[in-house]
Formats: sequence, structure tokens, C-alpha cells
Amino acid sequence: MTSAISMTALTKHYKGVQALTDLTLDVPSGTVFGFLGPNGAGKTTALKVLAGLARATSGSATINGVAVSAAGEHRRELGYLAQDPRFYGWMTGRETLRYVARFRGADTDRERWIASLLDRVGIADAGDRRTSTYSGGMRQRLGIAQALVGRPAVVLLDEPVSALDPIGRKDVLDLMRELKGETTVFYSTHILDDVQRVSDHVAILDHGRLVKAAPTHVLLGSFTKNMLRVVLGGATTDTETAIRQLAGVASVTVASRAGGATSYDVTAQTGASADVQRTITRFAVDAGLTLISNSEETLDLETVFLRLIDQKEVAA
Amino acid sequence: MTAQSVAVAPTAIRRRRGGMFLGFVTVLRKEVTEWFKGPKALIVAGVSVVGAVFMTVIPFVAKATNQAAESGLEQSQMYLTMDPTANVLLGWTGQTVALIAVVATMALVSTERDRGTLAWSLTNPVSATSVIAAKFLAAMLVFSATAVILPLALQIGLATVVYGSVPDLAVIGSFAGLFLALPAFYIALTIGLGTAVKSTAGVAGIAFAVMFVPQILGGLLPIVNEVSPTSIGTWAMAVATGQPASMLTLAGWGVAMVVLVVGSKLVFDRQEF
Repeated sequence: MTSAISMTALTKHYKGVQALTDLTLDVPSGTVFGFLGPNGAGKTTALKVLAGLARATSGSATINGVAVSAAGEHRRELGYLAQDPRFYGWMTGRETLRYVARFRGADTDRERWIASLLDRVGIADAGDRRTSTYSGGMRQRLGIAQALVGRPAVVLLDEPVSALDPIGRKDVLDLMRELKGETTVFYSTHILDDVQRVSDHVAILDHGRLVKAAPTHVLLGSFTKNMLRVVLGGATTDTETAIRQLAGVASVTVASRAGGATSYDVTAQTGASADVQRTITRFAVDAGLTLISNSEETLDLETVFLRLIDQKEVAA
Repeated sequence: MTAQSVAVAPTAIRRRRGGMFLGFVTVLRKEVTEWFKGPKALIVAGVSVVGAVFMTVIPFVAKATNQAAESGLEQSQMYLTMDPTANVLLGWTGQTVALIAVVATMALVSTERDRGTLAWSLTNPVSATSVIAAKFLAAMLVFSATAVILPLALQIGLATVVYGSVPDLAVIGSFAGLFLALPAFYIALTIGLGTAVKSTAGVAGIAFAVMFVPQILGGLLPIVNEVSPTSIGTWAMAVATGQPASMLTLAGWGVAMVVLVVGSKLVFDRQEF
């Protein structure tokens, strides 16, 4: 798979602040790539460097093979949505899209394309109103439309759903899902649930450094590999020891006790996950325990994120 | 939003040439439109026309009301001449045009920076040079039309009616052409300052200092006035009317323009948003 975005040892130093340190990351073409990190991690800085609004102190980047530079040629390849998008208040939404489209050259189908984009982001009715009358959510929607109007190879979205209500958020996430395969969407967010829903790749940034980058399912899988969540009714304090002694079990910890049910996190030895599952089922029957659940552990992205990033840093 | 597929994949888009002036035409078009979307162009035209027309009819009004005789102004040939050409040019040597130019353009860059629209424009395929050059050219085009050409045209018509003959169009035409160097300097100055100074008040303060300090210093040291680009209006008047004019003024203006253009580009290219 070719890279739509390639960052090599990208470093950005502001006065007294190291915003990015040696960020090397490849974003595969056609993916929806979530860029995660706590506040101040450097996500917006990285996006601004890619858009050409800030210059890297060192390192390099390409967008669809075109080097990011002050000349702005690489911006032919991308559409960009800022965290708090601002437009000329005297232009209508339609004129705003027309203005952006003109930068991209003569498109014979421009007006129809603009009308369809206004419709798709849900502001067709307000398309001929001045943007000075738009609410924050409408500006965000217009921002997404203007990022797409040039039919770019790469779309950079900085916190695209942060200003939206739940309906708007769902609409935008649906749109991002639709874009998969059509263009590459690289977006920053701190809403982990959204990332899990729409992103097929994620990168986690902390203090300007890349912590992890992987396909979403691989990242989640790497944390749940060989892990089982077993819930037993009628378990005693000896049950934990008994499970630990079963064949193929590497470790056991009590996750919770609620009512008569006890949850255990069981880690199987490599490759023994299915065997351990069967052994535990037999053990429960033999021991006269009620087997409430015996399944592979599933972690959400939030748990993975918090495990990767020190919670104290996140709180700060 | 609808469930339609968003066909973002590139289609037949005919791309424009890039380079240093990537996106220039699009920004220029936007800038010119912006001048006329608000009241700015109208205000510039209104103030300029009223001022110019007033100056043109002063001798006529003074004579008609006999105020000239009472105040002894009849001794001043300049003010009492009934020559239509002289009365069209009357008043163009002052600082009115410079003042209007500074006030009308001092916020061109800073306001856009504050509102975030400058950063937004720069996320499109456009070079920083194009943004600055388009702002300058649009301001020059609109300002020239509304603050120089339109008032002069009205003055010519008025002078013809009031003083009974058509003014010397060659003199006025050459003056108009040369005089455009004055707003060019002040517009380049405010845009150049806007790339480096973040506040509009800061831009205005420095521009007014540039406007008045050479005059004050020129009282003590005449060479300052002679080489100052702010004297280019007086120089244009002298050249157009066949009076002695120092080439040092033109040279000073030329050097100032080069410094402003190169400086603005260098500073703006290094800006981050």
C-alpha cells in the first residue's frame, strides 16, 4: 500500500516548547487514520506542518508524494479543516466553496459538485446565506465541505466533530466512513469512541512523540491477545489458585466481584487460548461452579489508550 | 447528510500553473470583491470626491462671494487663478490621499490574521507571495479608481463647467499616472507593516510616523524631504506641470518600494499561523 502522507523525523520546536520530536509516520492511501493524543500532545502542530501553516524545525513530509514546502504546491493534494474553522463572513457558504474550488483549477462540473457537497454536509438550505450567520456547527460542516471541494487525495481534519452536537457528530462520522477508499482521511481527535468506530488505522502521540501506530484491530488485538475474561458464580478464594493450575494458563487475576459472580482475567500461554477456554469450561462443570461467561477479552480503545499513555499525563 | 457516495476521487480538473504566484488570480478576485462588498470603497470614493471637488471650486466660490478680496487672497495667483487645469490640480499636493490610503488599507493583513481567514486561505494551493501581491494589486486598483481617477474625472467635468474651458488633459493625465506612485507607496507600506506588526493600531501608528516625520525633519534638513518617498506626490505634480523636480525623490521612492516588496515577502514567507 502506498503512503498518502509520509512524515520523516518531523521535529517542531517553538519558543521553549518541543511540540514534535522525530515523528515518523506513514499514512496508507485510502484509509481513515485517527491521530490520537491528549491535549498538547502535538496533534494540531503536526497537522499544521502538513498543511504548510507551520514549518518543521527539522525533518520532512510528503503529501501524496509531493514535498511539504512553503511554496504551497503540496496543498493541491490536500483539503484541510482547522479546529475552529473561520471563513469570510461576507461570502455565502456556496461562494466559500467556489472560492476554494477556484484554487484547484477549472472544474467543468463545479457548481453541481458544490451543490452536492452542501447537501452532503447538511447545509444545503443555508448555502446561500452569509457565513457570518452560521452557527459553530454549521461552520464545522462547511469546513468539511471546503476540505473536500478540491477532490483532494488527502483530507486533514483537526478535531472534526468537536463543535458538533450528537446528530452532527454522527453525520460527520458517517461521511468519514463513506470517504474510506475514496480519499485518505487523516484526523485528530480525543474522542476515542469515534476513532474505534470509523478508523482503520490509529496513531497515538504523547508529548510530541509517537507512542504507537497500527491498524486499529491490530492495536486492540495486541492488548487482548491470549486474554480471557471468565465470570464464575459460586467461586471461592481457592478458585483463583485452581484456575492458575490448569494446563496452558499463564496467569490469573481477579478483576471484580459483584454479587455471587467473580470475574477473572486469565492469560493463556501463547497459542493456548482456545484450549484454556475449553479447560475452564470443564473445570467449572467439575467444580460445580456456574459458568456465566468465558470469552476472549475485548478492550476498547480508551483502555488501550490509557494503558499506552500515563494516566497522570492525561489528567494534566 | 444524505447517504449518497461522496465521489472525492480526482476528476478532470484543469490545474493552473503554480510557482511563486500560485493562486494569485483567485485571491485577487476575492480581494477586489471584498472591497466592494462592504462600504469601504464607497467611503474612499465619497471622501476623495468631496475633498477634490471642494478644492476645485474654492477659487470660483471665493471670487463669487468676494471673500477673496476681503481676505486679501487676490494677491495669491495660485489660489485665485481661474485656470481650469490649475484648479483641478489644486489640493492634490497635500496629505489627504496619503491619509485616506493609510486608513483604508491599514487593516488589510492584520484583520485577516486576527479573524483566522488568512490562515484558512493559506491552506489552499496558494503561495504567501500571491496573497500579499494580490492584496496590494487589488488595493491599488480600487484605490486608484475611487480615490484618484474618479475624483479627477469629476474635477475635470466640474472645472470645465465652472471655469468655462476644458482643462489640459495631457497635464492632468500625466499627473494622474505619476501620482499613483503615492498611494502605491502607502499601500505597500501598510501591507508590508501588516506582515510584521500584528495589531492594526501598530500598523497605523508606524505608517503615520512615516508620513509625518520626514516633513518635520525636512524643515531642519531639506534633503530629507527630497529623498523621502512621501514626497513623491509633490514630485509628480512638479513633473506634470513642468516645474523643477529632483530625481532623488524618484530614487528614494524606488528604493523604498524595493525594500517594502522584498521585506514583505521575506517576512511573510516566514510567518506561521
